[in-house]
Amino acid sequence: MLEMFNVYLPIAELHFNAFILVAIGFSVGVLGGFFGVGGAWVVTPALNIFGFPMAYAIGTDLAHIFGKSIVATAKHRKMGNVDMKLGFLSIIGSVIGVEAGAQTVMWLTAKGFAGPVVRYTYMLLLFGLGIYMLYDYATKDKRAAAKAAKTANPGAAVMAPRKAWNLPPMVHFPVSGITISFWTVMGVFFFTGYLSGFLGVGGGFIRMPALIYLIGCPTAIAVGTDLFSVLFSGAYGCWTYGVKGAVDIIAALYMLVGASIGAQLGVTAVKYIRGYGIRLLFAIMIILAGTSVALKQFNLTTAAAWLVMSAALGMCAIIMFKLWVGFKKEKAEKMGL
Amino acid sequence: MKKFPALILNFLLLALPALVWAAGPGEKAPDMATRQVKVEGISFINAFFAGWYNDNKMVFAIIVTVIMGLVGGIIAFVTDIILKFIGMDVSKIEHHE
Repeated sequence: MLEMFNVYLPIAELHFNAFILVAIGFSVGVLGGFFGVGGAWVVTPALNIFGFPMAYAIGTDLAHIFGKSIVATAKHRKMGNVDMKLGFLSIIGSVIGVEAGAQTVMWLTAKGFAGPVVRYTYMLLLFGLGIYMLYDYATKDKRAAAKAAKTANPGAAVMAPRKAWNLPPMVHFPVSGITISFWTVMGVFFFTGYLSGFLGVGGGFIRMPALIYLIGCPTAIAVGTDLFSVLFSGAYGCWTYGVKGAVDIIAALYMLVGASIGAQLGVTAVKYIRGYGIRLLFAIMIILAGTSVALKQFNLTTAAAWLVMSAALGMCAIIMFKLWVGFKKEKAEKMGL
Repeated sequence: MKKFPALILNFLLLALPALVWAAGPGEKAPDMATRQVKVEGISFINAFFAGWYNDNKMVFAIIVTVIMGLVGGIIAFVTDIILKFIGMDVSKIEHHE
């Protein structure tokens, strides 16, 4: 029955189901809008399981990420979730970092052990970040109680410096409500850019937690600001893969339609879920992504692709459900007033 | 939560076999810079993209980037109107953790 949706893709030179393209785009759009990530780690294996050639999967994916991030960033900006000043600094720091990361990979390739080092780092990063965020979520009540106790009895509390490294110049970010050393900001973005260049990924899943834990951004602003950076890296990725002839624009457009609608809903869901809730879902998602990478290393490529696809769909369903519940609640409150 | 570091260590040790397996050879990508695609017998829009793909990859890349940006912008505008219509409008939000 789904054959009626088959379309011809002129660059990949094959017939492919447009419904699948829109559906993948939609689910990744929801995740992207909600978590502030591009989602290449979901789309590439998902396209591949449904028979899309790997050579075009990455380029087509990056092309749709660019279009989708415009949609999501515009909406986050409207909600006051984009710290432009921080976003521009993130682009500068990330570009330098990506170049340094890419140079390291070149050096490792020349030595002959780039593959294993990159994969080890990738998995450790996904598992490490995921576990840390779960830990952070699990201990949030304890920390909140300790903070409340300190506020109630300020004499007993030992005043600790807010930021350990206050090397001038200090920069104030009014949207995020933080004042922090310029060097800390650049150092963090250089580091996340370095990892991004080293691992060959967009870097949204590294930058989003870095904005929260290392810079001190509120979660929703971390999501919006990260998407702002994804927009620029997506545009560059779209162009450079286009030059290399690896973008099927028709497939990318179908995915963009699904992704744009999904991203709108994903961004709107941020309004209804508390910051820590977003962090918890993000932690689960990247642990599942890490497990998928591990499965791939056992040559269980199909299982890995299905796992990441199922995780994405499951997470998408949870976000949509939360959005619906929040929306209904808000509507009921408005009616009650 | 004192057992947490031990939990992480166990988790990493469990992942170790996977990390050892990670040392496989990488995939080789085909050279697409010089590749040509079919232009005859396809629709006008497909032929337009395929033609530029064959003639000049730089122009093709610019077309792809501009179209993706434009379509993204248009869809953002249209879906915003639809969501506003059904009452799912968003404005500045309070940031609560």
